[in-house]
Amino acid sequence: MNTCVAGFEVLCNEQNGTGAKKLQREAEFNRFFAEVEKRALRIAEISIRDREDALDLVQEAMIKLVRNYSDKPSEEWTPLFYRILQNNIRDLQRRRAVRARVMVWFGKDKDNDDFDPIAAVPDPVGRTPEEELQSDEAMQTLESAISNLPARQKEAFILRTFEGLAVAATSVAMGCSEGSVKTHYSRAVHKLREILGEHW
Amino acid sequence: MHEKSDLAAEDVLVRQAKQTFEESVERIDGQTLSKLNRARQTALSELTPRKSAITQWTPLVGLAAATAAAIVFWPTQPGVEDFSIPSIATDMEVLLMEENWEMLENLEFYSWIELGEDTIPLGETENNVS
Repeated sequence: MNTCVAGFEVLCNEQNGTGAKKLQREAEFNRFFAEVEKRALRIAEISIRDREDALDLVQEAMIKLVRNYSDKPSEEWTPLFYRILQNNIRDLQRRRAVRARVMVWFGKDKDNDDFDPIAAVPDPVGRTPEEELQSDEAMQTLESAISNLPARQKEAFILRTFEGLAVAATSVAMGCSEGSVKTHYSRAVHKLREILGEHW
Repeated sequence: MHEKSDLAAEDVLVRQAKQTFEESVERIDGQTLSKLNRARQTALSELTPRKSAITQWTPLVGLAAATAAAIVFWPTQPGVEDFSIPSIATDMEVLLMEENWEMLENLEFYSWIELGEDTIPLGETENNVS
């Protein structure tokens, strides 16, 4: 009888331990996502120029990270998360390119038909209209310049500058060597300076 | 010297780009933030271990197998079965094939004869045993 009670207590303790571990993991993921989600959304938005699609990609990246890498230490999550996000962005761009070709074939451009400029305007947060305008214009200029970069240079610049990833973490996120990251980043900055030099 | 100024200019560009980006992040509207929050909760719900497909379907598969086995191996009642379904089928066949429609008038009589034929062998068996 005593053995049974002791065994039950061990089982309960194990279950409580597993539950506590799960709650702790959940809290860690919650903190991590809360920290990166806004920047991740803007990064995705800059790359694909659509907020709703960007939201979908960020959610997809979050889910994939939790499903596939929840056993990894939390220090590794940032590059893994951005690697998933960049892959999702590339996939979507490929799908769009195919769709665009098909639409051109049928003589229709659905993206332009669905675009609502009023819905795309963000809400102002405690700024004067002049400040909003200036900031908006600066961001639009920057986004426009970034869109002119080759894909890999764009990724390197966005991850290094906007997310602040180190070279090693960027190489994990981009799936290439650290040397390649340095090259892509350097070329991206050089090109941006050429484009933005007169305005900035 | 020229290289140094280039690096400084690039540094300024990077800092300005970072600041502009951060400002755009701050301007994300409430509705979008709410959607982000929902996305995060959806992702966190993935942490709850889901039952594997095998565990999920085992009870249903077991129930289906038990039902199939019950249908196949359930002990039948030959008396009732032999008397009802085949006799109705035979009746319909006779009715459709027979040219003499007067038979319909004697349908009760034929049914009584058939009932008699079914019971006679049983009686004979009893007699043989005794």
